[in-house]
Amino acid sequence: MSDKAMHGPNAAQRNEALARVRSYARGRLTILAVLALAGGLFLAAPGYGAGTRTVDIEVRNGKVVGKNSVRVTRGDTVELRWVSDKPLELHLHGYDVTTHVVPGTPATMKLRAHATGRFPVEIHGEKKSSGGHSHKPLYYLEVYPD
Amino acid sequence: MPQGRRSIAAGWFAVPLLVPASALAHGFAVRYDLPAPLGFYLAGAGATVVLTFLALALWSWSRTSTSRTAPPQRVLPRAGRIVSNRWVAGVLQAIAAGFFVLVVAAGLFGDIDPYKNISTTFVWVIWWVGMMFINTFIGDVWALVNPWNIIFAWAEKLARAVNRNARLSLDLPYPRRLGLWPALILFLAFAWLELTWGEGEDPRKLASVIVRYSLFTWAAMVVFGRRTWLAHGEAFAVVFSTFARFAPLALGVTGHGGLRCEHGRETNAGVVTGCAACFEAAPPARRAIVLRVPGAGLLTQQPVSASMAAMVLTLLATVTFDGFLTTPTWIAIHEYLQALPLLAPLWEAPWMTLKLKFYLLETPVLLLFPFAFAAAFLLCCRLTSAVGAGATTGTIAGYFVLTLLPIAIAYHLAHYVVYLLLTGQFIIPNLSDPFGFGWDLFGTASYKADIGLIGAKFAWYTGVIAIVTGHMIAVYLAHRTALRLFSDGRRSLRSELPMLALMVAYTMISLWIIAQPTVQ
Repeated sequence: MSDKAMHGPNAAQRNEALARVRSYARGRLTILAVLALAGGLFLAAPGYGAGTRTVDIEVRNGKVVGKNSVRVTRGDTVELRWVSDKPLELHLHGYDVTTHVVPGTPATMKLRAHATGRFPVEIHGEKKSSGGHSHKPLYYLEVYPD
Repeated sequence: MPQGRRSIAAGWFAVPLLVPASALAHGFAVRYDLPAPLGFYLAGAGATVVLTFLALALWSWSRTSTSRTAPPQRVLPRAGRIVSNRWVAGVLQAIAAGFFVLVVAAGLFGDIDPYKNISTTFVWVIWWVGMMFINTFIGDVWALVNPWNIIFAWAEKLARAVNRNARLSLDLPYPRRLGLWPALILFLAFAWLELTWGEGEDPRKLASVIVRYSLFTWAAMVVFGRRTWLAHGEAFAVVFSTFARFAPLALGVTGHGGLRCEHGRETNAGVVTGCAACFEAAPPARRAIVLRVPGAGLLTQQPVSASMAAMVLTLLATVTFDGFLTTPTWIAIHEYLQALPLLAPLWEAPWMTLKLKFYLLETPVLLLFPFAFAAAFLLCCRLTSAVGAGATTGTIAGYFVLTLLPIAIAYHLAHYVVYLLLTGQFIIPNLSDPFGFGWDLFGTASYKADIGLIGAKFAWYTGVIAIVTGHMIAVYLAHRTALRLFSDGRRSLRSELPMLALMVAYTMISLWIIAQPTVQ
């Protein structure tokens, strides 16, 4: 008998707590619905590009002449052909490709663009003396999803 | 459409940039993000508006009396005991202090190449971005591993071991009206170092800043006492614990009678929630971990203090400023200011350097951003006060300010997911060779970051979904806050309209930034 008397208020409390949880959760249902919807969009299967892109880039006095970026598609084979009026050591971040350019001879960075993103090319060797602002990237390789 | 956007971007590139690498927007500036395509921006913006209106419609129909009660929470005493167990805490503290010493030592004595030195990646990616996410999505872990706290506490113990009566702190009374302002000012200084300074990549300079901040923090702890300074002045304890209000787990102390603890944190059903200082001071039997619905900690029983509101608004503003720095709009503002005839004598002054020019252009904007955010927010509070009647603008601001935080958290996630997962991988080789001396402690020194780990599409989806989700959580929290404040259902709904409009605008800014062509 005393058991029953103890269960009564407990059950009521539990119900109240449950109702509170429900009311709180209801507001989040919309959020979940959005998540599910967007998750579905992920199922779009990624294809794979297969072209070859050759880009000629001229560096004069440590700056690129003309446009300082190129846009390619994931899966492309990319050839960046550099010419410079001064000897340079160039480093493509992310893909981690390094090349030496000597005046008069073009130097080529060749890679398969397997990862998407916007990857800077920096001139190496001059950075160490003064970090921070001095090493503004020379060029950008932009690999877009297909 | 993307074609049109591209040509705009190309146009910007063609502009001869007078700005020196303006967008080294982070302490350690290796970002591989591609701007989200226009379609993502439009879908996100559309979802934001539609869902906000749907929520409003839903609320205007339904009776929501149950929402007025405080959100449910569960107190887990055993988890509290595990976290505060001597050995668990001891190991955590030793690891944290060990990393702190390692980072400073590597910064001071290691290779100056930021990729070879562990200090840059550890501080800017693992700690600043990673710890922020741990605190936001798990709980206030920073409170348990804060090296400034740990090392000072060790020193206190050592002093007591030598002399029973020795005290390291003067324990001067902390002036109440200072509130969280010291932490706010220090955080602004940190934001400047992160976003404008541009020297955070230099391990030597980074270590020197850490050493100075440490000395300052310990000096302040000597003056006001360790726990008092952690609660009011240690910028990262305050910032990280503010983000931790969103988290599902919180440090708790049971059996508290009052409405607030001595450090100003609220109690919920007799449990002080989210106060690391109280948790540390409490006897083990009263320590607990509190489990709650994510975001519930942003609902307060009483308005937060003015300095706390300012802190939150500053966090929102700096997070947005960070992204704004890489937009073409920002470059345009830069150029406009540089071309102003009024400022010409300043730029041509003999003492003017390129770097100083850059600082002079950027610093005022960094400082203006929080004021702009505060102005917009207070205007909305003023409107809410006019509609809702009965509560002053200040009170309304104190109740609503935390509900904006999920939008900032979501934007943070969108902004940093690629940075954390791709740039963060530098930590793997760094751990084997922290100083760049050619060591290979764990055999990972030659690890190359896998830049294909996550793609641009993943980042765009994550970004847009996070921003829309964060917005809806914010809208929901604002709704509950309005219900609590204004008992009249109709009035409460009308009173939250200004806040909802502000939230939509803020979310739109976030979406706009992630869809901007990056200019560096």
